[in-house]
Amino acid sequence: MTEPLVIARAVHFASTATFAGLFLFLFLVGEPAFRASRCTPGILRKRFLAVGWISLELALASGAAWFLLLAFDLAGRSWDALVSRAIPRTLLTETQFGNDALVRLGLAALLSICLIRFRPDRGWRSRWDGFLASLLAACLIASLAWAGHGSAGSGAPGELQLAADALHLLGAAGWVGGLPPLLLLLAFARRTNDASALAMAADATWRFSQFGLISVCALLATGIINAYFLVGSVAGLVGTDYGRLLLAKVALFAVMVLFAAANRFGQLPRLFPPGRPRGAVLGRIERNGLVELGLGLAVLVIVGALGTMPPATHAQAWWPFPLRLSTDALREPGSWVELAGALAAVAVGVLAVLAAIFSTRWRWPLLAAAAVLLVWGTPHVSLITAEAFPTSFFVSPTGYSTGSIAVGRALFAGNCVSCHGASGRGDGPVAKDLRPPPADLTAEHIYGHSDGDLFWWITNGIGEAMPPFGAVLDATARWNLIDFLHANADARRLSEAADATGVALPLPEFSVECRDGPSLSTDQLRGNVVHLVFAGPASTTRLRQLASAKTNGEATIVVRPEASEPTAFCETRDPDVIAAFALYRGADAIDGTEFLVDASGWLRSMWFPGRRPDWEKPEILAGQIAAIRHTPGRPRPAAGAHLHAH
Amino acid sequence: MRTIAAIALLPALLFAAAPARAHAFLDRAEPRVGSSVSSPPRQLSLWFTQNLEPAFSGAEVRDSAGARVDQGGRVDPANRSLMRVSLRPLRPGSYKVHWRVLSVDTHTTEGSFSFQVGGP
Repeated sequence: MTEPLVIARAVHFASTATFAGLFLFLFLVGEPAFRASRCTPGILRKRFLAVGWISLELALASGAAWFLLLAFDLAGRSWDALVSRAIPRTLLTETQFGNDALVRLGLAALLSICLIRFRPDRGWRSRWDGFLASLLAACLIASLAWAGHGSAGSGAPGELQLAADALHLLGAAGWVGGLPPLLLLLAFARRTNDASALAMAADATWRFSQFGLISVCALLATGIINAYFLVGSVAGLVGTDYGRLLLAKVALFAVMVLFAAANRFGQLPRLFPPGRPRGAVLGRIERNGLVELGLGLAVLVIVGALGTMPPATHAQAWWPFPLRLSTDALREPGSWVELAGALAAVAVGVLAVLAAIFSTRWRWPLLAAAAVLLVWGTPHVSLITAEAFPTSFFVSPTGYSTGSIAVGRALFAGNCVSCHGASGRGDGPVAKDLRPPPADLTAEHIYGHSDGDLFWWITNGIGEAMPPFGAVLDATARWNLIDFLHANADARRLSEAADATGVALPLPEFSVECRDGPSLSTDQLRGNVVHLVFAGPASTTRLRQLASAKTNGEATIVVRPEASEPTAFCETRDPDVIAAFALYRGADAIDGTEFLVDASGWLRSMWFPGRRPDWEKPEILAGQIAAIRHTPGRPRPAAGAHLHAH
Repeated sequence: MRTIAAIALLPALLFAAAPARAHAFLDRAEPRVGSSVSSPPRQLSLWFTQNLEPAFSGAEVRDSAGARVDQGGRVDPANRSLMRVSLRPLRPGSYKVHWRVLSVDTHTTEGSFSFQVGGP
């Protein structure tokens, strides 16, 4: 099913770009060149008209095929359902894709009237005709943006993405779509071979190259914006099918630009001043243009395929290099100076090598200096690299929820404690016989590795030191373990924190239910300080005290066991919440423990009966809340590791 | 080799994690995916990563016996990436949600998950 859709889309993009590009070419290049050289090539205009009608017919046929393939897919690939459920009508009238198709159909109808009004003997009836037609053509090609990935965003970034996509299409139509009429014009001039036709062709080539330069710049700028939205990272570019196909497209584009540059800077100056034989130069321009057109069509086939694939931002990126950039080492004082020195040494060294190639006199001294600089500088550049694995840029699908942490906690107890110890400090029963010793999974370094690095080690083991678990635990279980590792390392920091202003730890996600209201996720609680109270049989007094106390603007949430009395607060009885937060408490008996979460959703401090200062005193609790409200916490390193992919 | 790789990767510094778009996937649900809730929810909310086409997007909820317990899923007109599913009064038990949506960029995606409703 995919291949017909790819072909239909590719033909539709190519024919629409040719159709729209023809009008832009006529208005900006063809007719001005005809006027300037007082050359009225009726045969050429007839050929332009033929290009217009053929590309319009192809665009209509391929557009209809694209529409029907989509409708067929939506009907569950059954012709009966397609007809009985009136899928095409709904698709046309009720979806953005269908409405966009209707608009494009209307624009195509108006443009076909323009084609009828275009006369082989005198071109447009007026310049206004030409202007209006090229405006309609620009709208036709730009409106294809609403039929693809570019239309998927929302809000201001979504509009930027859509505008970039529309401009990208316009640039493509201006360049690739302008090539067929330009090539026809050059062929006509060379065959006619009289001075006025050759002068007209030279003029048209000059005009097209101005307009081509603008197209290339627009394509580059908007292409970078589109890639930011749809690929998002270098890992996405080199590690996913979508990204690699995009790289192939960029490579073809680069070769197209080389041929265009050969025409612009190599051939074009030879057309002027006049008096030189122009035929041969125009022939070379035509040949280069033909190569550009062929490459442009290949690019459009890739565009046809890219639109049917999930963008790189939705796929796990398989990192193909043994290294990645890492700025971790730059946190060390003085490392910036070392790096700047190393980069300067390498740069000067490379320049010295280049200079040595050109200077025969200074060659050997320059090479010696370059060798010294490169040998000294090169190893220091590794300050900004770190070891990487194929899964280094994988993104956890679990969403750091209490459910995931609770599952991970059970898996850790079942698979990992014999070496890493019950609390993950590398002190399990068999640890003392192991060389190298098992890692302390609560130490600071755990934050220095991406989720994807940890995923690789759990899956494949670490040399002789740690066995692989890829065959024992499924992928989700391995991600659950990683969520547990982070929560467990955080637990050590939370219990060691002296006061509320020190740490800021990611809050595991869970939901609470409020009286007469919808249930809320922790994401939705942001904006307010949250006071999380784990209630037990002995908590009645404390809950009554909290219910009657004046609040300090915080939202109180009660987590209580399954078989207890409901309270007036928002609450949850999810056992996973209790299991996950028991980690922070360091004990399964979590009754009476309380936590404070700041308005940005960071877990900031913990209290339990007997701990100082005593939160049961209202003024102490108010002071704690005021403190976290006024002092933003310092998020722990690698807080971005859990950034949601969406 | 390390140096060449380091220099080749310098452009990576220019890229930060970008918001993902295109193809609607379930971002989160309420009740949460795989969760257990104590009181029966009256409504299921599904947040997607992208705007949906209401005409071709839907969800159904079935109990453990396979009977439908929903009154149909509707895309929220004010927020087209949110689908609301009205539920009949649910008894304690396990429920399975199946969603199938068309994103505005014409890609169909589907998925399912379950949640539990606990005792009174």
